[in-house]
Amino acid sequence: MPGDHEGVSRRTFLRIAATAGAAGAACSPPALPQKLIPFLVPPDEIIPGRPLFYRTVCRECPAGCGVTARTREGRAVKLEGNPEDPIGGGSLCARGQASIQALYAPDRLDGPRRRGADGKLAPIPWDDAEEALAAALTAAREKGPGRIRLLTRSEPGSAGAVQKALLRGLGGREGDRVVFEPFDAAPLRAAEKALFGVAQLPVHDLAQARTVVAFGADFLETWLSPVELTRQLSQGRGRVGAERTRLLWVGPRMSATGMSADRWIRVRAGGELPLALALLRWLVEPGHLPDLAPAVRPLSPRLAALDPTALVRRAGVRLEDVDALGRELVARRPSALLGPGVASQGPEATQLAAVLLLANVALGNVGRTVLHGLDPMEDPPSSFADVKALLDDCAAGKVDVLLVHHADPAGALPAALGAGGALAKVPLVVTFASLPDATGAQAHLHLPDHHTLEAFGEVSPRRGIVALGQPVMTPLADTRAAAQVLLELAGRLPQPATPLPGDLWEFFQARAEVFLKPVAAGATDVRPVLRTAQERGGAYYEAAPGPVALDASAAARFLAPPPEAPPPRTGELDLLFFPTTLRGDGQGPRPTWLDEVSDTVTTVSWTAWAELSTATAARLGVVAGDVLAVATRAGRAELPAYVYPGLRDDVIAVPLGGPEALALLPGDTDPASGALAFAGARATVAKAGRRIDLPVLEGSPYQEGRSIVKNVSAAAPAVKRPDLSARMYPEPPHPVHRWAMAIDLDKCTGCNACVVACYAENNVPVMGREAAVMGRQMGWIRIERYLGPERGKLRPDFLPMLCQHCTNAPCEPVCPVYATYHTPEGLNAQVYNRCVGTRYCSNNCPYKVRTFNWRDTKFVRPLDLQLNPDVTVRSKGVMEKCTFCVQRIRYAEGVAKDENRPVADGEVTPACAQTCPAKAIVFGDANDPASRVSRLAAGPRGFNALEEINTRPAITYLARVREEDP
Amino acid sequence: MPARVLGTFGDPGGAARAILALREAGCGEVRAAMPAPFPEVVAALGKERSHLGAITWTGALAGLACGIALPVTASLAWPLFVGGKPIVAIPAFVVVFFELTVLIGSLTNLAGSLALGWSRGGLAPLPGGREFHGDRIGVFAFTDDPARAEEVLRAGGAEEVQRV
Amino acid sequence: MSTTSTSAAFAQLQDAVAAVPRRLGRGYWVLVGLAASLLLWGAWCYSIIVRNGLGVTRLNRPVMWGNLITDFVFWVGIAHSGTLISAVLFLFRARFRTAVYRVAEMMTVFGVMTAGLFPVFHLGRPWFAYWLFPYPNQRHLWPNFRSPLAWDVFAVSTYFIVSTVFLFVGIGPDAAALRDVATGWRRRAYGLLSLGWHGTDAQWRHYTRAYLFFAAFATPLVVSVHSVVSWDFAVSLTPGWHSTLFPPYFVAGAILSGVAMVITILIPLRKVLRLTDIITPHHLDMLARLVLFVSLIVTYSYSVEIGLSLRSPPSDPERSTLLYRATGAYAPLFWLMVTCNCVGPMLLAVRKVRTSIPALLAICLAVNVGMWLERFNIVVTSLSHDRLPFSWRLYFPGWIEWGMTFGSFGWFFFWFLMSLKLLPVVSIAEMKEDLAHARHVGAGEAAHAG
Repeated sequence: MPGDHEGVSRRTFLRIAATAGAAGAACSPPALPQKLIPFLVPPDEIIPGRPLFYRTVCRECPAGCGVTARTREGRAVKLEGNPEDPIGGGSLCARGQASIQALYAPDRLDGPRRRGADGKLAPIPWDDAEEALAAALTAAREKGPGRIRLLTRSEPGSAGAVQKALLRGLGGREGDRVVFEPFDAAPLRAAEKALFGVAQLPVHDLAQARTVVAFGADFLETWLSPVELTRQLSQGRGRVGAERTRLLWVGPRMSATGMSADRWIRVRAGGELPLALALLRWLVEPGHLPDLAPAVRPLSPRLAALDPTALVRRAGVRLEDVDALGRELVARRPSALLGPGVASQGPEATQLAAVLLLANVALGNVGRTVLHGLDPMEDPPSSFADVKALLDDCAAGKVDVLLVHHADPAGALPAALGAGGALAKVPLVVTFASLPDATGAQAHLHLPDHHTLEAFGEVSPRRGIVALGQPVMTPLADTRAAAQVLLELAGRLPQPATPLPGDLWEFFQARAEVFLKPVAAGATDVRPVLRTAQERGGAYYEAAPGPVALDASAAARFLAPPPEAPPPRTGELDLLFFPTTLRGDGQGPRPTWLDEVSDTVTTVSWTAWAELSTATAARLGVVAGDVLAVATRAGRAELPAYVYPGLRDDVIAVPLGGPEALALLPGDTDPASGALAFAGARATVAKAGRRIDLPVLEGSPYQEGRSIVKNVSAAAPAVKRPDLSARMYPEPPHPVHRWAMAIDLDKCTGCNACVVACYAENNVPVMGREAAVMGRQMGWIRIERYLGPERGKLRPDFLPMLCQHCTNAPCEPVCPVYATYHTPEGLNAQVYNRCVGTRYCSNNCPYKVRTFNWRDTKFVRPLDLQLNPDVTVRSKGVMEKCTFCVQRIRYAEGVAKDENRPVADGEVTPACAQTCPAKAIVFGDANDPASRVSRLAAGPRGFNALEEINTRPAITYLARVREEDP
Repeated sequence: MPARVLGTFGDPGGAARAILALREAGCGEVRAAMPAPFPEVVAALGKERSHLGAITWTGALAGLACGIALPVTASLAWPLFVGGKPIVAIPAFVVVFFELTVLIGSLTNLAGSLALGWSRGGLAPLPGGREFHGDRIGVFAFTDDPARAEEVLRAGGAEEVQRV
Repeated sequence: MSTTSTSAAFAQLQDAVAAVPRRLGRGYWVLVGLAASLLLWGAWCYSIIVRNGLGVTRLNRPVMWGNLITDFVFWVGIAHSGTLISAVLFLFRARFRTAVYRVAEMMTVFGVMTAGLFPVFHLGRPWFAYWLFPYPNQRHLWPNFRSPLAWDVFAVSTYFIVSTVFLFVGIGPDAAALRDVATGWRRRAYGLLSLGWHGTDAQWRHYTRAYLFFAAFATPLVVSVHSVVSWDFAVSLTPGWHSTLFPPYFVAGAILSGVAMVITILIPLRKVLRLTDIITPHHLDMLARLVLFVSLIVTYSYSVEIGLSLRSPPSDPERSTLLYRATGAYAPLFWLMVTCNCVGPMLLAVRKVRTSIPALLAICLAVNVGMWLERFNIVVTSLSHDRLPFSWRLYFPGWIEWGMTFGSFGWFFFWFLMSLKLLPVVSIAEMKEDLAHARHVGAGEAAHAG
């Protein structure tokens, strides 16, 4: 990342500090000045045309990846991973990339609002709002404890601390503050607590694992820390032979994670637990695992009592599968057994988690790939049961004031719970959401929080990491940091129980004294340490994982065979809910980029859908696009069908993150952990008699026998390539650079992070659902997901498809006006203002990577503030396409020129390569034989797309490795 | 100045015979005006072929020259590489060579034929101001011995003979 | 006796042609109105595209060309009959052309006028269409002469200019003839069109020479134009386009559609304008034979295209695309096309069918439809079924595209109908020459007999 450190210089920091300082000075009523004071003499680091980088942290999910925000002329234009951050490792997922859209969302609340008697929201000054709220709180406090409740997202940092302090000050009880994280791995915590005594989340090191088995844990999508786990997995990918990390996917549906797997064990819905038990039983069987961990030995008799045939029958697999799985795990150690994930989180989720942990212990994975003692356990999410209890209290009128902090129960809880009705019973619902969401629609008082990019804050996602958030720009609207508002409230309360500083900055610094200790090394003044930490994006220090002791007696409780599920009634299918990166958990409005980009597995965008297997669809006479009426005992929903061969015939699958799934969710719990049971439901399916045009990106999901995406194996480690030595004309000269890219298909997980990054970097317009139906998405890079080599054969492949920057580009000679040509640096340039829009280039592009501007795009204010000033916004009637982020190339070349040195390898990174969590995309100069891209492209796995037509692309794909099972 | 005798005929054959007779009789220069290029009449007049060919050929060659010059010089003026093909890609340019040859060739042909048709008083009205586009053929004799000419024309079967 | 009868025949012919404008009554104006309203509707549809961008069409990726390009190729095809009949048949000395070539030439000129619009219409930014022409500018930017679209610019504009010149050169003497009998504005117009024609032997000598050269230029031109148009497709990489067969295949197709259109127009024309004894069943018969002949060539091309593709493995995109045409989503159009272009014309092998004017008209109308479908098939199916299966997608034209397609017919017929008011629909001079020739031969034979 060029220019980071000069990016956040002393001056910058002082400026920010000054702001907050000013805030401090003016703290307590009268309200703070919330605007940065414009400079008469501009600070020297703000140079028009030069980006300025700030380090902060992503709050889209609890993983807490580090972020580098690129600002231009005082506004954030792009988010990227923070390379120094151990979690994100310089990458961001699709959600993280899109989070900047919330900052510039046109419907963002621009100030506090109060719902009047007429039910309409009316603007109200901050003072009055806080005054009113303070009054309400005081009144509620009089009535005794429990009248004031707080529903918040997990806030392992200042914000959380302030919340706790305030509630304490209001005489609240422990349970009055409910932490809401719909996808929290509560069963795993519960199992840890039961087995090892501590309710912590393990941290994984998959880079050490030789075989990873995911029991419905979509760790490449939403599970625990997807970006980190993706990176770890990819470290073991991209080599042929025994040293390559194998991934096995266990579940009734082949998820995106399953598509990256080497083998899919198609257990029936809820079959993960029986399989896990059978596996554990197999492992402890004498002679199978020579150095069986002593801790689990005592369990052997209990396990031996289990009937393996019954278990495998329940799992819907064969004994040989267990045998094969067991033998592989024994042979390939260390390994990692992951689960349960949301998709496999059923009524026995805790037992599944426990059994998997036991298997990890048995295999000696604990301490090597499954690490403990790294969960700071700072603000762990409450269980679903607690959330339900809160709603019940609300419904029962036991709550006077409900403060909602970045939580959207109405938008993410099963409709069966009637969250909406419960909220209606609360006299005063206060939301700090900065965007209108389902909960906000029922709130009486809106106190919009800053966006993460506008506020200070810190989160400690894990021991050894305190990620620091800082404002990267002036707040756009009249918003206020929620924690700051709480502090001010505390100030307004009569006789505050616990004295709190009136200003968040002071509070934050006080905390810094504590959380910086490990890095301060006994420094008296912690401020410079804090400054350095903020420049780096966080305080990072060594935190060693600790040992855990297995409580065998507790473990024994988890070895009982799960209760037999009742046989499905006729016409009933197992209903599988699964999460996707793009749709998320359904809280709050979804950034349009995430709606526009196509789902990895189905390539559907802009709508929810229901998946049926090919056979089941045929049985029901359903084709893609037919609207299905899906009904559970909780409710019914109408969803368009998508026919997906990667699904068991006895299952219908519905994505989470939308009202349809919520309508169908029964809202049962896993009693052991109190977690919401997503799995275990059954549904009846019927045709609704309508059909819609399903917005899918794919034409044919199969390669039609054209072997477009090559594979290699240990048996055949090299791709067979056609002989293209014959030349009709000399190659055009590339005197200095010849930019090229290598994409490792063995690492690519089809996560779509690159796609969203490209939207953000290159001002790619969002076209909407109609356009998606017509195939008019404007994305410059798309994930071509092929389900198989020919029709009916399931063997998924990902092919990230972007402009190949061919040497013999077919698009170039057909343009009558030279609007596209081959630059001396090997780029296929598109000259927008020369293009007349014949569209011949697209017709002649065998890769179909050129997009046409069917209309003028309007970037509604303030979305236009996000536009990258280095990239033209294209007008109607012109062609556009991937430029290899030519603006970044020029920038790096410019920097190198100023320092008069050649451009170093890796100095230029297109947005897609920069954010790739799997580090599958490598960019560089093909003229330099030593560059990474040259070396990768020269490797045996290298091939070009449609090589046989001799377009000679600058992009080399590295074939995915297919290992036949050992 | 010689006298001008006009004989009108209704039938190309007759006109042709009369013209031959006039020439045998040495009645000065003989010309004709007719609604269509009747071969026998043209043959009887026995004038040498039109020189239009020379003009048109030069035009066509000039067209070819332009056709070659335009794409070659234009491509060299801004040498951009497209599709890995050479800057001066002769096979691709052949179309332009050909089209410009034809275009400029035919335009010269048009200009040439008009010029020739209008030259030598081609634009001036015919002697006697009559036009012969309809159903008659006019045979003119420019002679110092009009009487003889009239005689020959009558003998040739002219429908009417007059001095103009 | 032959004298009088010859001149009588001349006079009769000339009167018949001169009478044409007078024969155009109310029905004619209704037709003109119809054409005009179609034309205006098309213009309205296009204005929508200009205002809102091509998003209002149903075009998509990968199918970025649809009706508009189909129309372009179709009308260029229509434009081919004229020059073929007037120039090629002239060089072959096929006498039957004389009666019909003027109508064909008019069709050519208006056909090119129509075709020439569409490359501009289909642009994303039509207001910059002039960038396709090589004009000197201060930035020294020139078109890319390696692009088939640049070749189109040259081929089509050359063809338009040359065929227009050819038409008016042919009209010159006739205009002079009609000037003598016409009055009012027509007289002045004919005076202009006659280009100072007096019909002297000197003028005729240059004229016949010039006409020969025009024919000599136009003949290769007519072949080149549609070859160039075919290269718009053949030069590309797209399966179903990338084929060396295309130039002859397209030329044959063009002639088929063109001649069919000539017949379609001639049959009502000769009735309404009472030209039945000038444009006789014999002429129609000869044209019908021409249709049959080129239809055989087209049929051969279809079969060769598919036959050759069958020799490559099933995974081959070329093969896949060509079979897709016959079996995929567009199969009905494909088979309708085969019926119209191959089966229909075969019937013309039967004299009874050929000489039955309603049958002939029906078959030729069908060929017009079939040829439009052929172009649609080539343009759309190939694009919708490209190399990467992931990007396959269908295209079906929306009302805007249809509006412009029908609008183009309005535009074409508007000009054609209006021109009937002035231009002689039959070449009087050449007819007279033929008549005289016929009589001359006849007289000769009579003499021998006697």
